Amino acid sequence: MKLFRKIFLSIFFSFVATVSLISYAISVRQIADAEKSVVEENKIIGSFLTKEIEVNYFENKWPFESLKKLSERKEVLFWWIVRDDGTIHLADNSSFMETYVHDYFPEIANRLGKENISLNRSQNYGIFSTTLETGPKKWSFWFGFSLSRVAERRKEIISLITVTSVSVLVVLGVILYSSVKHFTKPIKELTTGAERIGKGDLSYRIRAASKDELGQLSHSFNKMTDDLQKTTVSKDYVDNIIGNMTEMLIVVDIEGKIRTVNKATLELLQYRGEEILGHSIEKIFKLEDIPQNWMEFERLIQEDKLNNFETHFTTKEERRIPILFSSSAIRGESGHPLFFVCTARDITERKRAEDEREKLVKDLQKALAEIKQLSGLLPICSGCKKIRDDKGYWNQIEEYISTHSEAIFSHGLCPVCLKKLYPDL
Amino acid sequence: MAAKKLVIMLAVFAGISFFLFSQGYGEELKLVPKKRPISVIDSALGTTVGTGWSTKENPQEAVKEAVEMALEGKQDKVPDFAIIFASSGSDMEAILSKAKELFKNKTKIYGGTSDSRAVMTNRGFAKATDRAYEYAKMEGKRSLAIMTVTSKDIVFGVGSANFADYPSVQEGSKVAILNAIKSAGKSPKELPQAILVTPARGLEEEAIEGIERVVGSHTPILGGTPGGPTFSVFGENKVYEKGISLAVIYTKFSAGYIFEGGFDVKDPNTGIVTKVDRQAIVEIDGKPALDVYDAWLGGEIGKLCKETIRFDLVRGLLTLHPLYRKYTSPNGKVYSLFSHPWPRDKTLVEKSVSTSTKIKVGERIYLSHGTWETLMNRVGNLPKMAKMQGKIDMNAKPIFGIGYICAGVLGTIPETEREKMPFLINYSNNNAPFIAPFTWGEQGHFPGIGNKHGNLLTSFLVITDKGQR
Repeated sequence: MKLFRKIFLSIFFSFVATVSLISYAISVRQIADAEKSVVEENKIIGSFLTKEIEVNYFENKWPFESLKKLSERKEVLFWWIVRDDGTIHLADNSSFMETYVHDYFPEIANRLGKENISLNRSQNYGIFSTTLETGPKKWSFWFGFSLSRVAERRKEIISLITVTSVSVLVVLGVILYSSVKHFTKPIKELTTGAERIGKGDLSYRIRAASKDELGQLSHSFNKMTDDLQKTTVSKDYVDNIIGNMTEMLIVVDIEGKIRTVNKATLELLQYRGEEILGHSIEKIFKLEDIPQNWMEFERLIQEDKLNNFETHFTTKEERRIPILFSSSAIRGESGHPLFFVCTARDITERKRAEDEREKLVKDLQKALAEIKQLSGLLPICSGCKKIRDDKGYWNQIEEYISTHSEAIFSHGLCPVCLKKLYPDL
Repeated sequence: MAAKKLVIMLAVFAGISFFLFSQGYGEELKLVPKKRPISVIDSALGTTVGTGWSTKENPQEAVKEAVEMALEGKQDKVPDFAIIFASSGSDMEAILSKAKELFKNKTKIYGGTSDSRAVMTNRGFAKATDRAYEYAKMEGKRSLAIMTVTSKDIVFGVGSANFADYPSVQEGSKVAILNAIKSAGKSPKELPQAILVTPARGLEEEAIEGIERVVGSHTPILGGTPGGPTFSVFGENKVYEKGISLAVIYTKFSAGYIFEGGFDVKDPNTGIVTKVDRQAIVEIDGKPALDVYDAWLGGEIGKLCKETIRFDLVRGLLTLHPLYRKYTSPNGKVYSLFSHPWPRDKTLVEKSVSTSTKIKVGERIYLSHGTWETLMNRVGNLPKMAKMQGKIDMNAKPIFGIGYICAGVLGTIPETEREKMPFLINYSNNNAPFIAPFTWGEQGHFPGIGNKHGNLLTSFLVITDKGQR
């Protein structure tokens, strides 16, 4: 994951968590306040009616008008005046009259006290219950109220808080995005610079706008790059040289894997870079092309004693190409070889020239040999033109030449002789 | 990639928020009323009382249902006495006929129409309709209530009269009470413990006068004018529109009764009636009665009449501001006899105030005020106050109760509250059986003064075999 994303997501997650917690806390507080307000309001109503009922009770009256108004309140679910034995004496809904309060709310009925409020949030209601000052027989007054106002308020709060929180998060996200982008930009530039320089581009410079630590780092980086540029041959330069070499260059690691090849190698062997990079050198350098055993060959390579060794590379199309192979090791601090830089020159033309020369020499030698057979001083008879051989015998010239050369005689008459011999003809 | 993670993060945030906030505040509470414990009617030894009701439209079915309910679990299926009230608009002939059939023509039946809106027993508020007056005729919604009594300790007699058959209402009423006494197997010299009456509307004072001619003014007469808008009472075999149905009660048990209005009588406005026309006051202190009454109410009548064309609303308002007369007993106790005033002329041109009571010239009238709350409380406390008046222990359970509640009072009580009334009466009546029609005029007794007819009043009678203080 990129640094920007890491920083952004980490901080943003913290924002989300913080905003969530704050939102939750605010919401809980707001809902609690709304609930408290509803409870207080109903408690006041309950207290007021309790007093009114108590005053009327001793006059054998009930405050029906007030109780009806209570019934008409949207939030009021029911009201009951309950006798000391738990029988509902009066109710907003007469269907409940003369039934037992214990059948509906046994827990509240069993712990009846002065001005109690019991809330049941799962069923969205609250109950105000209180004993009445009705002499020794304690009657009680109950009324249930809906918490729907709290529920509605809660919905509003949730909507508001959610919208606000999301808006805040979006704004914070945008600010955070800009900030992190601003702060990571030099780092990204440094990273890019490092990568570029790593690849040998020493001309790359970071634009350092700030004067903070990152700015200083950028300056330091640029200075380092300046220094490097002054003291180091750039990779481009080297790549350029390698690329333009007419000779083949192959860098092989200690395991025999090809790490670098130049353009001349690829063109000659008809490979693409990815087809041989990372592959064993044996792909192009067959074992049968090594005259010594492999161990000896390795030793020579490791000892940098392999120089202008004549052998063959094999092309992608399995065509053998004669080369003049040299190798030298790049060694680590311990002296052990890390890489082997191998160069090879295509000697196909030279080999062909050599072959042609050899053939010519042979032809000449043969011709010379044949020319020597008839050469030297031949003792010939001035009269019969016989030739004396080495053994002192006189031989007809045709016989002698046929014996000492490939020449065969065909007998005929020349015109002079013909005229002379056969003047009649 | 980062944007995707960001979106996921925000989604997780929203999800967590939703989860956290979705905790609590679930479904609304839905309470379902539990079944009430069965009320055991432990009547006095030798007396069984039952009540039943029906809201069936068919009169025969309604009577059958109500009677079966009243006699449920009782050995004797033919009671001695039955009080039947049905909402105005019911087929009273059919009801009487069916009741007589079910009771094998042996049960003494007393009753008549209740207000078109309801009747009431200890079993509940038997609502016919929310609507009163002329609407009741059209709606076809009915209710009926019955109370049956079988007793070897309480003797009932019933009598009735169709006033058209007699030279005067007084005479018809006299015949009716004599027949009732005879029906109870008593002689006119034996005064009943109480008399229940249902006299025709507008003739109540004359009916009381006729009854008092037989039993005197110290025998309590409790009753109610039949409820409207159509009125009728039960005779022995017929239904009378302009008649009287009454019952006499003879018993050695204690009786307690109450006849009162429960209005606030502190208003200083008062005047002398200077001119009347039947059941209407024409002038108060020599001025048009409506002007005086409206002035007492701060011009509310005129204002309301301008604002609404619904005359029942005007009547509704005035229900809570009745006029009343004061009666002081020999022992110094002051009783208030209320009358329900309303403009006789809906256009307010003629400025008489109808009261449904016969107020005499020279009588002082006063202005009173009430609220539906005070009236509802009064209804709830009726048995308690009846016991108090009869010096009966408050904890004593009556054998039964009979009430007459003004339909005007019913009208002031919000519809949602009306069904509470029987529960309140039950508590005050120690869960004893009772029946209470809603009447368009009430009759009752002021001890030491006599029997009176008024409006916006309630009468309630309790009979108990125990607990006399």
